[in-house]
Amino acid sequence: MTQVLLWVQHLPVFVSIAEADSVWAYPTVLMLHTVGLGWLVGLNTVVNLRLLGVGRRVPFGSFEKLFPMMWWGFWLNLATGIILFCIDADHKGHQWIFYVKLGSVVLAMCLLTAERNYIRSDEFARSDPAPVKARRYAWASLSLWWIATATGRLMAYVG
Amino acid sequence: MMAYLVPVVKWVGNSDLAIYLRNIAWVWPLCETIHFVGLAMVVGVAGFFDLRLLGFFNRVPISACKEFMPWAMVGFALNLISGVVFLIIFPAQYAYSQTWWFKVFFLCIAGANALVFETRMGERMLALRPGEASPTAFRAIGALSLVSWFFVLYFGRMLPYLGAAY
Repeated sequence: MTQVLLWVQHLPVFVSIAEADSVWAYPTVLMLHTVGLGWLVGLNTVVNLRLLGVGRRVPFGSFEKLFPMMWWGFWLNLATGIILFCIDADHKGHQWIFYVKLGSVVLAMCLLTAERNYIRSDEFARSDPAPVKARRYAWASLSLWWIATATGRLMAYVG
Repeated sequence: MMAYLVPVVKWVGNSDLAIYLRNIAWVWPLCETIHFVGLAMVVGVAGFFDLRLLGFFNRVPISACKEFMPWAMVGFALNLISGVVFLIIFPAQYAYSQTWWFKVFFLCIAGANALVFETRMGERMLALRPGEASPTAFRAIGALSLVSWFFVLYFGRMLPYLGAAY
């Protein structure tokens, strides 16, 4: 695996980003990764808070426009994340905490889709104002994002 | 202004609290983690409200969207606390950094902007009918909020690269 990681890391495009002495290279990619995090996780937090009973006068239908916006955040972070990984692949590829982060992001995105389908479902439309299932979705999503954010940030310090 | 700050920075940096916090290895990474969790709450919850002011989902009363805002304040409180810890541990790298002062400047803009909405536009907000177009003043507040929070994040995240902090 090390050889594959080193091959990726030594590709000219990633070497040039890593070695560029410009704020528009690595620093900007890292900053955009944080913008995407705030947008995706933050907007998902709004939906989760609503499922937990905050802002009950906001109908779930109005969140329809939010989900595509969360996906913009996801695509931005996938693109910037690939660059951040590749310029330091031999290190990040061996960090156990990176795989915890990756796993929690994948689960959180699956849950995002499940949450959206649940909100649209007849089952949800017929249920109480705050059904137990909705609370479970919200807490699972919030927990996964906290794990993803924490492990992502701690990649600079741990493993 | 920098010379004026030297005694304050020295006093904070040499304080018992700064020395104590600096010597606990996990304090800094923990505060970084809290700072990023808080960041998402501020950007997402305030961003949602800003989208409403800009005219998105305008069938929903603005006052209903505003019910989420205490959670943006929770995120802000998390970031204020963790940010103050950073400042106590290494005051020099912030106080002498132009980048950090730009961040503080945009924090003030975001705060003043929110205050203008809070104190001057309450009645207009309640008078707005469902589906009615968002007034220009509301759109301006929403846009300025999004832009200023972006720059708070920009100058915060760029601190290690536009200057000497880490």
